[in-house]
Amino acid sequence: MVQHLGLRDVKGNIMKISSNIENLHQVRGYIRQFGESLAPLLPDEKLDMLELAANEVAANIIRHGYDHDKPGEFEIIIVQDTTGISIKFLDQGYPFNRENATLFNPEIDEVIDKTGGFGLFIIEKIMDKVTYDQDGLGNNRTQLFLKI
Amino acid sequence: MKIEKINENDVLIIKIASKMLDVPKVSEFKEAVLPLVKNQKKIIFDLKELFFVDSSGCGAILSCIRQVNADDGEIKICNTNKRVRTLFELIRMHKIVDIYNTRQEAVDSF
Repeated sequence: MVQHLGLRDVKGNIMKISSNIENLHQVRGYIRQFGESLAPLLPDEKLDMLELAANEVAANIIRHGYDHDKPGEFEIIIVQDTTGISIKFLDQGYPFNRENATLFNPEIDEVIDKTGGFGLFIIEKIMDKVTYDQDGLGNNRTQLFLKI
Repeated sequence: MKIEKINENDVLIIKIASKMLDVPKVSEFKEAVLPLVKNQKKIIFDLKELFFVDSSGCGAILSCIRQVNADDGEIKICNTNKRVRTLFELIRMHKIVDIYNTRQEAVDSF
């Protein structure tokens, strides 16, 4: 359900989801439903990529932020304004350190040799801005921004 | 995961009869497909029914390509939708595997 936040030209929505990998399709459905409500502002091709990027972030949170010993929930907050779409992921799993992450680099890596690192590469390639930090409440915060 | 195996002359066609190839499906995909492609030389992955693939799905397909390459075989791909094709191009998979619009084009290319 789209909630109007009281600001002209701003739409937002929030979803809370448990850290079960079987829930990934719900994340995609949530992003798609929101994106489709923005038509024709968001072309299908851009919505496909937004859905993919959100899927990758959620998969990382579920697989690496949480595990069987530390299950939990995370929130996805999506907001659209006149400049673009922001998606914020808040979780309380193991923190992610971007500096220690090894991304696929198509300039130097041969894709056939790689067994990982595609997810972060895809997220950062698709989105116009990606940040990873912690908010003042102790949540890990991953923020994606896509211009529209 | 439903996989259809079709032999056409000396080409093995593997049709992924699933809409999703994402993290929850990857183990199932590998368990089903890796034994099928072992020691095969000419293989086509027909992705006509595949609506969504993520990075883990790409990794699973790459595992198959590595295994087949090690056996001196070759995998070709056909019938990708636009979003899957865009993802393959994003991570440069189209540089290491030939991708065709139709199954017939893929078969004829061997």
